[in-house]
Amino acid sequence: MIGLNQNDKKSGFDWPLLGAALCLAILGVLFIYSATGGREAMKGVLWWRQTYFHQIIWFTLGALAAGAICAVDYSSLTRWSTVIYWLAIGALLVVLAVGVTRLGGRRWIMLPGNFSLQPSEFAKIAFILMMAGFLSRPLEELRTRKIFWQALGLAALPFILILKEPDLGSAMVFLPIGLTMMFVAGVPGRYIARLVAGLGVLAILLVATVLFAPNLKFIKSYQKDRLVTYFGGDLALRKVAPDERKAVEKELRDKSYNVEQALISVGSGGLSGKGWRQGTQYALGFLPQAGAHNDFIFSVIAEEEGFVGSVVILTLYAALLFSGIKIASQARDRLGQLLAAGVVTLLFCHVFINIGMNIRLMPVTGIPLPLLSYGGSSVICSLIAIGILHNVHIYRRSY
Amino acid sequence: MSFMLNLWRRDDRPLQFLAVGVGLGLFVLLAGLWFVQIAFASRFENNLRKQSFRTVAIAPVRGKILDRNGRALAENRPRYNADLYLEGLQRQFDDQYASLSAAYRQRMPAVAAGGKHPALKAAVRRQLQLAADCDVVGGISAQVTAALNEPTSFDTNRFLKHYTEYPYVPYPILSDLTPRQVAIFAEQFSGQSSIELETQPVRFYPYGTTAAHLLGFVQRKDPEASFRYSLPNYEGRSGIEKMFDDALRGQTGVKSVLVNNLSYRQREEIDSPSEPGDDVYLTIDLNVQRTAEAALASAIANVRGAAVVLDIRNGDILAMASSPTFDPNNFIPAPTPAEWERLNNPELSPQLNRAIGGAFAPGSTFKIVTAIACLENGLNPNEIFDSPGAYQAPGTRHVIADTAGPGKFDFNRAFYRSSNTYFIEKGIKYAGLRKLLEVARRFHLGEKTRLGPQEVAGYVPAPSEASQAALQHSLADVCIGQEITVSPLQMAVFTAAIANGGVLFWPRVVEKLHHVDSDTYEELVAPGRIRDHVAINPEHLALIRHAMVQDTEVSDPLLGNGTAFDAFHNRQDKSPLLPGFRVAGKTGTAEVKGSDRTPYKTTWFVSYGPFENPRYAVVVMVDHGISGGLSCAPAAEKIYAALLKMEQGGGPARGMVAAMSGRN
Repeated sequence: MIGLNQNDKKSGFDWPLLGAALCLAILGVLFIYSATGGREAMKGVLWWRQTYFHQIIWFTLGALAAGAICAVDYSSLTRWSTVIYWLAIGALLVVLAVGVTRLGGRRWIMLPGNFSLQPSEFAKIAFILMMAGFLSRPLEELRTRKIFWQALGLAALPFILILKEPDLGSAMVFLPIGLTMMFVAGVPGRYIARLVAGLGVLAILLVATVLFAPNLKFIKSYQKDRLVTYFGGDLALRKVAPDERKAVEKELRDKSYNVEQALISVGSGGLSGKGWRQGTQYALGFLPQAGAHNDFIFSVIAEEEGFVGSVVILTLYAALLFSGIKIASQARDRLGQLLAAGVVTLLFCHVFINIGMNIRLMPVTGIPLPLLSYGGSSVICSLIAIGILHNVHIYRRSY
Repeated sequence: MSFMLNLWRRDDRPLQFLAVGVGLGLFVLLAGLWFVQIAFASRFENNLRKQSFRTVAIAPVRGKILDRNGRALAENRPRYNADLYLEGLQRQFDDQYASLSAAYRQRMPAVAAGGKHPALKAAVRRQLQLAADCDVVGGISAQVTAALNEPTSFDTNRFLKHYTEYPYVPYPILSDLTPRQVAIFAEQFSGQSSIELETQPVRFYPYGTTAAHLLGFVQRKDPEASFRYSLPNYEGRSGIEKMFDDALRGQTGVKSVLVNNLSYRQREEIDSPSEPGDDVYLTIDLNVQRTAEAALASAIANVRGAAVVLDIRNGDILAMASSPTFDPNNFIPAPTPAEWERLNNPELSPQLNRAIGGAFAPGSTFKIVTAIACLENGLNPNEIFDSPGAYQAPGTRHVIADTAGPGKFDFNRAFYRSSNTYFIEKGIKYAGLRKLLEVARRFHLGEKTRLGPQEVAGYVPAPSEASQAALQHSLADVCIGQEITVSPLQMAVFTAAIANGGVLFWPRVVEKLHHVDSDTYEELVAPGRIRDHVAINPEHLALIRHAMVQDTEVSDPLLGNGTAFDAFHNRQDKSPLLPGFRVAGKTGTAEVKGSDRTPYKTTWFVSYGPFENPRYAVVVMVDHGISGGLSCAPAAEKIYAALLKMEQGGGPARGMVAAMSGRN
């Protein structure tokens, strides 16, 4: 397929990986159509201006990008990682300067033609590339504290910038990716364990502060609300006078509305669902109109296809993720292994957080579901990530 | 998954960790989904139904009430309402909100000072949203009312209540449009999908006051709590409407309205259609009823009275009138305050059905009972009694006047001249209180006839109570029908038994139900249910019947006319008003003391006809009348004229059919 002149190139596709990705992409388009295409308001809209068609375009562009990535050995790709990383940091700074605000966050850069770009998605890829390059060094070095803190610094920079947008959910994703990559690279487990423990304590303190001292300025009110919602009203209500309790409860109810509606969608799907385009939760506007085809697309699928559909989706992701782990295990060198592990962690975090949010396992964040959620940045980045995975597969070592 | 084995063999711990982590994560998601979609699916399914469906009750069409010939006395007429479908107005709401919020921002100090556009507070946005919605609906409402030439009636509070509680139910702009307005509406607003003409059945009594007491009235029913919204439904509050409410009402239907997150209607599903109520057929004949009411109303000024027409062959009530009356149409939706005051006037009590719900002293009509009691106990009808013209009880100053005057009386003359003295003397001598009460009770006077909850029994003590009864001291009064009370209907049943030879029927007013959906009939009450065969000596019966016909026929310048002669004969040439139709009757005029101890007269005329081949019993009672002959007998005469007309083809009278088939 790709130039035969490279010796260590093993030809062939990783079919489980590509098959799973293709299936997810097709399902994504189908259910975006289900959620948006059938609506009254969309009747008069030309097909090439509809959401599902845009999604097909994103897939095409993403597939081209992934193909392009596969054309070059990943080791030559990572030579550019520092440049890419700083470009991404630059883009994050641009967002903070001139970004567009939507749903309480300044996360998008407007491009000509009314397209918007979400640099935080690209920053994740850049971070994986950067981290993989940075961690590809002798084990002795990796065991030093200096390298550990430097690696953490690489993660902290985009983390802080994205937190400033603010987009707590996306920012948080950098932590598991960074930690996993360090762990896979060979950074001593005790460092990581201590860090995780420390962060855990910090997080508990933070949550407790937010819940019991609700007037702090540095955390945005919607984030507070989401956290309060997620950690349950009872905790927050303990200090409320009985006569105020009702008002507070109502407020909490309103805030938890989206989660509640997502749960109703998923739960009412039952075993086999209501059938494609037969779901009511989105059509009747109970699921947020702005979010159902991106953040809450899983609710739409689960409502229309039931538990069976959910299992199919999970199976496809399992195929994708375990293919990724397999690719990591077969990687030619540590760089390839780190890239694959980073991508797997990235995809897994997105899947877990997004689906978890739909069934109230996780708080509501703006994390998209890879390959299923609508959105150019998300789709293209997911495909680039898969392209990187596949690149590692193509240039794997042979047994 | 062979690579997993490889992974383990190669002892690559970090990747093993990653694989376990990913596997665990996916398993957690799977378990979570299993809980939500399988274990607790029904809970979320219920929540979904609860938030996206509203159950609305559909009012069934109420059954009709018809006379014996199928003419509707109570039916439904369509009421046209102009309704506004709020879900169709979303765009207008949004536009108006945009302009209102822009105006609001202009007034804000920050903007006036040239600053940036600040975001509005949620409460302010809500306020502006509601104001915008009111503006839009108010505007449309004004447009419609102006086109239909009605005063603008938009009530912000009423709209907001409707809008917040039932936005999925159309909002009524105008109700009860006239046919002209319906035409204008159809012409001007038919193109606008958000405004529609809605039809609602409303109870309607085409003959107004006719048979009002019998029919009763309906009023709007309290909404059922099990429905989020109930369309107007009516409930019988008195009369047949109340007694047969269950049958008339029909089955309330249920529809589910699918709503969106703003509670606007998306579509409707009929879960169970409403079933129309059954029609109730009465034994009443509309023409006879109307004649009876008109005749009663014209008896005296401001008449308080009742008239009952009974088919003596089976006990069917052909007419039952009570006066004063009311128009049941006025109860929908509610009587005006002035009407309400009239309805509850304690003097007139228009809501009281005096034919069954009032007990009155029968006066001289009770002399039929006294006569039977005396004849059965040895009175010689030919014996001549010399009356002093008044009765004074021995050893008292209690004098009972006698309109028959002094003179010689045999039984016949004493009856048709209605001599009080004769009947008191003979009653005391031959009968006594116990026997009088025994005869009265033999005819079940003073007992209910099972016609309905409005009925009263009256006061005729059982013979066994005669010794204790306070009546012991007023035997003379009881002989001439005072100090005891009966209902006009009881007197009609009693008169019918005299006419038919002692068959005492249970009176019947409801004949059958018509199940509209299956087009089947269900007989509710069998015709001609006999309550009792009253034993009377045929000779005595013949004597009484003869005396009763004399009451309307004897004209003697010397000895005096029958008390009802004038009512049945032309004033000038004394020719009978009903040629060939002889009526047997008895007048009555009871002296009653009112609550303020001022005496007044309860006047009666009980009768049957035709004399030779009796078919009808007619009883007219006027409380506060002048005399039975003057106040009541003329009304009875008019009723007989209507009965004659009915028999001669003024409507397919089933009495005729029965007569021809030889039932009598």
